[in-house]
Amino acid sequence: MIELSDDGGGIDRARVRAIARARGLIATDAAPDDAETDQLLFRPGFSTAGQVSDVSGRGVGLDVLRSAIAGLGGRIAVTSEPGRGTRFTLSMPLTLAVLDGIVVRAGGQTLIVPVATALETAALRALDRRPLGAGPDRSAGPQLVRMQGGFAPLCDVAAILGYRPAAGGVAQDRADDRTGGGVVILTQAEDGRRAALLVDAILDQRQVVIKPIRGGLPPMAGIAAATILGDGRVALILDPAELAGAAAVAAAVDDIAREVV
Amino acid sequence: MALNDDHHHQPGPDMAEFLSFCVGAEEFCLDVMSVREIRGWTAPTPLPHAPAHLSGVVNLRGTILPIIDLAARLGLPATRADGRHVVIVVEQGAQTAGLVVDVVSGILALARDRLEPPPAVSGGIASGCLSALSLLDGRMLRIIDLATILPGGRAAA
Repeated sequence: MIELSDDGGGIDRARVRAIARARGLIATDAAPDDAETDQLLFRPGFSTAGQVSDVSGRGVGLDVLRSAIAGLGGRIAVTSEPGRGTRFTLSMPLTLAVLDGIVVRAGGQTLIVPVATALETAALRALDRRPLGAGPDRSAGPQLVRMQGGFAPLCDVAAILGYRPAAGGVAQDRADDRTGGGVVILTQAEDGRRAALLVDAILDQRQVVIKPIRGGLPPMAGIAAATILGDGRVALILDPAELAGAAAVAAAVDDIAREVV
Repeated sequence: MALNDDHHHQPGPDMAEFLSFCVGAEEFCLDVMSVREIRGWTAPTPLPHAPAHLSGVVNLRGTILPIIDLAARLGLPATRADGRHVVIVVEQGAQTAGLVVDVVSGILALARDRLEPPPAVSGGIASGCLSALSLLDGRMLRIIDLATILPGGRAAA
């Protein structure tokens, strides 16, 4: 919890309401109470500044601040007493490092998929699966699955991370596997890109504490961070968007390798 | 400087202490000041597409510690680590890592002026990973240069 206060004149609420009406942020006949009026300060495009410079007075600052704090799972509030001053209160979560995760198993390893990125889960064999490429070797190339009304690239997590060789394309060996063929988690990144992560099994859903990987290791594609499970072992937290990118790179390398051969 | 083999007195300002240990059949040393602790081996979580000597990461009291197979790093056959192996947790600046070795043999005190710079030979085991050599009771001591061993160190760049 962080509190910032001044002993100035406080928020001039009459002026805030007037500006908000003039800019169309509230209806002309609206009569917001004091708390609602104070919230107007955080609206995008709201500014009390008379003059706009290159950087100031554009009504961006508090809006950005509020989004940034909300993005970290915190809140910001403002209270003000006319003639006494204004107080901003920033409440942040106790730790920034807690994440809702799906605990999965892939290639013998336990991994975490952030719940926030997951849209849907399904058994692979229940899905409509199509090879992207053409030609005789089409089943070895990238594969797509149809989920939620769109095609998503099928990313075999264990193969992308090198825990299991990508023998003959994505999950080719398991296509004939009668035991189930794995579970697909459809994920969506902030920018809307989707990826269908293929794992062996979903084990659990739980909150995990995000731990940075110490020791100066280079960043690893597809790995966001790590956590420690209840049994004391380390599990890696996946970054689905990057993982899909890593898969694309791996596929491109495979293509080049095939052309060279 | 008179050569004297009396290395058993208390370490003074011109003395340095070294932890000696075995990697396979080879003996190496580390400056004791860079050693934080010694613990038993636990199975690390492998990292994707990591070099062969980077075995993975383990949980060290809530922090995530990279584990380096020192044998593989030095060009020896990779260690098939199990519960009998030992992990030396080392610190170099802000970096911490665990080195897998076979057995820790002891602490040796050496006069600093008896440390020789390693000869500039290329090739062979551990070349480029040593910071000094010394002779003690007829044994050649090879002191490992941590900066070249740790991830993000000179060798990894």
